[in-house]
Formats: sequence, structure tokens, C-alpha cells
Amino acid sequence: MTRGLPLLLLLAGCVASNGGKPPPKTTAARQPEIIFSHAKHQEQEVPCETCHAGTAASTALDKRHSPKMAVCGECHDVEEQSGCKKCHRNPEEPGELPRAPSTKHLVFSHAAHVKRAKDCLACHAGAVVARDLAEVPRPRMRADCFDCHNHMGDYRALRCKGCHESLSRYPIRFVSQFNHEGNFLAEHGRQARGNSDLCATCHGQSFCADCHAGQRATVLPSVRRAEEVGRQFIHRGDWLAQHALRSRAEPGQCIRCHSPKSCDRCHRARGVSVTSGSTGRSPHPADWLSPGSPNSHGREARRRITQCAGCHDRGAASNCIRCHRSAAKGGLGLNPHPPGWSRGGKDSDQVCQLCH
Amino acid sequence: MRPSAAILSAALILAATPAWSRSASVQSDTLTTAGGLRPEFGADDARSQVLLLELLRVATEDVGVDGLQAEISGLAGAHVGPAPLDAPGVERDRFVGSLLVGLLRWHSKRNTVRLAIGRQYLFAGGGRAEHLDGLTATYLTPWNIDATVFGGRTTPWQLDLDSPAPDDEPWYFSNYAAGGRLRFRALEHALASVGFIHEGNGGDLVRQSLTFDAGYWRLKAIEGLCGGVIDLAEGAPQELWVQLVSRPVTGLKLTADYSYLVPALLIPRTSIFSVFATSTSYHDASLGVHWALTDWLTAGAEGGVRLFPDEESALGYTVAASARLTADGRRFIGLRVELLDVIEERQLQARLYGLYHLGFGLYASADLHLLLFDVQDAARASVFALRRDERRYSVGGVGLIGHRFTPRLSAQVAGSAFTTPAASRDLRIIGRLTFDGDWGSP
Repeated sequence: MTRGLPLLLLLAGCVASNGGKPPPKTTAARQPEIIFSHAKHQEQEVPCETCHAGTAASTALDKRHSPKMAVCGECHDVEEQSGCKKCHRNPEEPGELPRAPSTKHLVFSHAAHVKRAKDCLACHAGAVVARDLAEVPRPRMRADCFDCHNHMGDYRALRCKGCHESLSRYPIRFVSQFNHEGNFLAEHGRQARGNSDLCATCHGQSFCADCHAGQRATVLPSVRRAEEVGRQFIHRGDWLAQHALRSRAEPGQCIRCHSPKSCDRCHRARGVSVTSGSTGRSPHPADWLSPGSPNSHGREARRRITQCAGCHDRGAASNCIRCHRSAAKGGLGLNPHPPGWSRGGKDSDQVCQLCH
Repeated sequence: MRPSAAILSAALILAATPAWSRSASVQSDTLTTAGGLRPEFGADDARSQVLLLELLRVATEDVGVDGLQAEISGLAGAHVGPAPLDAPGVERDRFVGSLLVGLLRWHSKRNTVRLAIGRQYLFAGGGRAEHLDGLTATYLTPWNIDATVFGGRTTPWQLDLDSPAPDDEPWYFSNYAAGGRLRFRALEHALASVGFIHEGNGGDLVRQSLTFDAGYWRLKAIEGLCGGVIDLAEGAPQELWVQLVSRPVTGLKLTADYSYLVPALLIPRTSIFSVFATSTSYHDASLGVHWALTDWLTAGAEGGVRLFPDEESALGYTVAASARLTADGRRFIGLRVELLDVIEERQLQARLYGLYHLGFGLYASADLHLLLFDVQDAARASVFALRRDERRYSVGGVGLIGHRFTPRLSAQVAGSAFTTPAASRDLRIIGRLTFDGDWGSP
């Protein structure tokens, strides 16, 4: 277990070695080396596709569709040396068109949008009045995207993946604004099993581990995150006093996360187990071992076998074997199997050999 | 060095180098918790503990290569002073530490191929999630169908208080798992999948399951989700469930859930208790309503019953009601009352909780609890219920005050005090320093 400690120290050291500095952000240059006016080209009624060939058919934002100089040469005399300064601020060191900020995190199809809107200006209206490349605005989500897309509706219904590759870096201030209301805590397991990639748009696996695997440290999520009083953590409050009743109410739920060892070890330590020696207090009623009694262990075992396993599942040392093993093996041969039971396993099955 | 260790080390090094990444996030929780307990049974003496704990989570995107992500989380801590609270007399580790997640994930440019390698949680359809050191590969076809295969060494759900001892239950858990899933998914509208998982321990079969799940969200009036697990070794359903959610008007959420479970089939076949397989199953049905009546008032109610078809009566029922008053999203107060009836025993639980932002980055919360126990059939009640005859209530609460120094850094101090049937005095103090930062473009 302590193996994790050096790994974490190594990790901490590596993080520190970066000094916590953020990686540089990609931003467009303030004064592009290339002089270009979208407005003038618009005034000359040059179709967008003339320069941005392929854009209207593209289905992703992974390629740039900025024109090469050869495209300019289809209309302009780019070989004329005296005219360089018309387009280049520094002809001695001609640069490239400015790179726009990365949009790889967005799922976007120009083809689908052109098909519906028919006009590039529906989203790029600001570009056609720009007299300089530095003035070319990018489509704005609120003004341009949300004119057509019901972002709030999609947001509430968690339909994010239509546009967002990943939301993992967005600041999420109020989780309650998402569709996590009501009995979401009870629902989330089943939804995550089928649709975990949807969860992954906002939550990393560490988020799951935070509750589902953090208890080795003996700090429950409800204790560790005491300020999140609005969340229905399962083990909130005085769980110790109510855990027996809860486990009887929902047989099988504890064993989904806890191994039998976690029941047995604590019961023994607290003296509420028959294996606790002289201080032991059995949790069972007096007529527990009397067949046919209302409190017979057999009846309870059929109903809540996972509770029995919590303390008594100890492999070959399990105490049920003592009585239920066959007479040939020194037991009483009391058949514990349900009617019509068939294991359908192989003869060498280790479990069968414990009794037979 | 085992392959899994090599994989995890690689993930660790890559995850720890945000400088190579387009974006990175780091979350750190540094905790100190100290507590004292005077138990009502078991060892007679009062006990106390002090635990120092660090939880660290790092996630990065485009680590050197486009589409390569790394994620890692782990914890390390030490018990200072007396023995831990939960296991008096049991020799326990002074130091705790665990690598919870350590994986490298890669997706192709168009996201049609996804690979994940390392320690990860595997969610592959209707079955339960697996925690494994291994590989997951997914291919998304152009027809909205994706195929996933996975395999690796399983790690037991790490919810035990101690690391496994060498002679502890080697038979119980699987030590490897492999399987796959085929899923059809129309983006955000419908999903249907079928999967298979085989879990083994050496040469022994632990579980072999066929899983399925399906969902439909296209209709505005109602959303549906269903699924199940078929135990292939027994040839019988282990679990079936249906979930319906309706949002007929803005702010109103109605839910209806049904599930069928055979608890015995949750027990691995490597356990002697698996010979009780096909013993009693149960049905669970529940309804819920959650309504944001106004911007500042939310109310809800839930109720459910559990029926054992082989028994003469229902096992029990639960009903709950809740309400919450909210002001500008920064202050709220809530109340929840729940009655749980298990025939032999009953409990009534009430919670009153709230959060208040005081200004200047200061905030405070409180969470008060009251539990009342009622024994209806003393002959069948457990010794825990008999103990409750002596103190048939539990009362206490948690109070917290915190300060957000910057958007990334905050500190909290919390204290809790309870009087319960298990302990006449249960006190705890927690100090927490939290850092939550991310850099780069998403």
C-alpha cells in the first residue's frame, strides 16, 4: 500500500519542477504581417469560396482553409516586385497569415452549416467589414451560435457533445445548474455504466475515485467535503448506527463496493461477533440455529445471503461448512442448496470440494 | 518490474509534466483530521486518532502528441499518534497510500479510435464498473456503432480500511477480467448495447456475465433507460432495471424506477456462499418528484417499496420529503426527512443543512442530524437494534467555516459532534487546504 507514496512524491516533484507556470496560450498576432482587407474583396463581390476553397465542404475544424499566395495570384500580379508592399508589411521577411486560436475542442461542420444557412455571412458577418486581418472577428458564441442554437436547453439536457469535444477545463461553478437534481445520486451509477463518455466530458476518472476508492484513508466523502451539504452522500452523518438496518433494507447493496473483510474485521474489533472471544456479542437471535423457528438462520440466509457472507465468508474456514458438508467429510450433510439447484460446474470445482 | 508498474510509472511521469501539454489541471486536498470516540460496546476505553492526508489529482491533454491525455490520482497519508479509530486492537499500517487512477488515453484525430492504458475504471455497459490495470480499446464506426474490448488485471474495489494481508481472501476477487461491448448510439437520443465480461481467479471462474442496456431520450415527455446483467454461469438474471424520467414542465422532474435483484448472484462463484445461488430475489420500485417551484424554492418527495416474492410480506418501504430555499445560488438552507421501515425495525432520519457566503471570500455551512430508532419485532431484531433500546436516538451535526483566498486556493476548518447508539461521544475536527487550478486552452 505504501508503494503509492513515492509515486506521489515523484509526481509532486515533477509538478513543482514546472514552477506551476501555465503553458503558453496561442493567440493571434496583434498586427499581422500580411495586409488584407476582407471589406475590399466583399465590395468587389469576390465569393468567399474563391479564397477559402474547401471550407464549405469541411466537416471538422482540424484544417486551416486560409489561402496560399498562389490563390492570390489568380487575380493579383504577385510576381511584380514593386507591388510587394501592397500586401506585405515587411517584404524582406514575408510572414504567414496569422494563426487563429485552436478550435480543436469544438465539434463543428462547415458543410452542415452552409447547407442550412446558405450564406457564410450568417456567422462571419463581422469579417466582411474588416479592413485589416487584425480586425477579423471570430464568430461569437452568444451572438452568432446562440442565434440558432438553444444553448440553455442543450446545457440543461446535458447535450454538450454536439459542439464540445471536452468540457473538462470549463469552470463549473454551480453543479446544480446541470441536470443533477432530484435523485441523481441514486441514478448516476446506471447512467454512467451505459454513457460514461458523456460523464467524461466534464468529469475525469479521478472524480469517480474521489468517492468510490477514497475510503482507504478512513475519511468519508461527506466528511472530507463537509461544505457540500446539499449532496446526498450515501454514508452521511451517523452511518454507523444505521448501517445494519440499511443493509437489511437493501440486501446486496453493500457487497457491490465492500468486501466481506470490511464487515468482519470491524465487527470482531468492536466485539459484536461470535469470533470476538469472551467479549463477543453475537448479532443473532437466540433461536438462530433452530430449524423451523421464526428466526432460523436458513430463512434469513435465503433472504440476505450477502449479509451472511459479510462475516462468515472465510473460504475453507467458513462456519457453514461445519454442518452443511457431507457426512463423508465429517459434516451433518444438511443440504443448503435451494430446490432445483444445479451448479453446472466442473467436478474439480474447488468450492464443491469443500463439502463433497 | 511488472508491466502494470511500468505502465503506471509512464502515466505518472507524463501526467506530471503540464509543460508538455496543451492544458492541465491539478487538484490537491491536504487534510488533517483528528477525532475521539467513546464506544458503547467493544473495547471500553475512549480512543482518538490523528490522520494527515494528501489527495492529488492531475489531468493533462495533448501531452506532447495531439490526442494523448494523461490522468492520475492518488492519496498518501499517515496516522499520527494513537491507533486508528475503526479497528482497536488490530495492527494497522501507520502509512496509507494508493494509486487510484493512472492512465494514458489517446484518441485519433476524428475520435474514431480510443485507447486507454493503465489503472482505470472501466464502465462497459450494464455490468458493474471494474477497476483494472489494463487496456481498453474502442472503435467508432461511421454508423453510430462503437465496439470496445478490454482486458487486464483487476484490482478489488479499494474500500477496505487496510491493504490486503497475504492470507486474506485470495479466493474472493477476480485477478483478471476480459470482455467487450457493442453499442449503438445516436448522439444524445438513443443508446443500445450488449456486452460480455469474464472474470477469473487463476483457473477458477469468478463471474461470467452478459450485460445489456438501452436508453431513449428523444421524446420530450419521457426519457427511458433500462439494463440488466445475466449470469451466464447460472443462466439466470442477476439484475434487471428500468428507469423513467419525465420533465413535463420546466423545473419539474418525475422519476420512476424498478429493479429486480438476486443478491446471491453478486457473490463470486469462488465463494462457498455461492452455493446459495438462486436464493431469494427481490423487486424494488420507487417514485420520485423534484420540483423547482420558484427560483428560490425547491421541493421533492420519494417513496419506494421492496418486495420479496418468496416471502409472505413486503420487506419494507421508504418515504422521504425534502425542501430547499436558495438565495442567489450562494446561500441555501435545506431540510430532508426520511422514514425507513424494514418490518423488524424502523428509523426516522431528519437533516437540516445550509450554506452561507459571508462575503470577503468567507463561507460557513452547518449540517444537523437527528435519527430515531424503533424496534417493532425485538425477537428478530439484531443486537444493534437491541442496543438501540438503550439509546434509541442519534443526534449531532457538522459545522464548517472556510475562506477562499483566490479562485484556486481555499482553506476550511470543520468540526463534528455526535451522540449515537454506538458511541456516547464521537468528536472530530478537520482542517483542509484545497488547490484547484487549470491552465491552457481546453
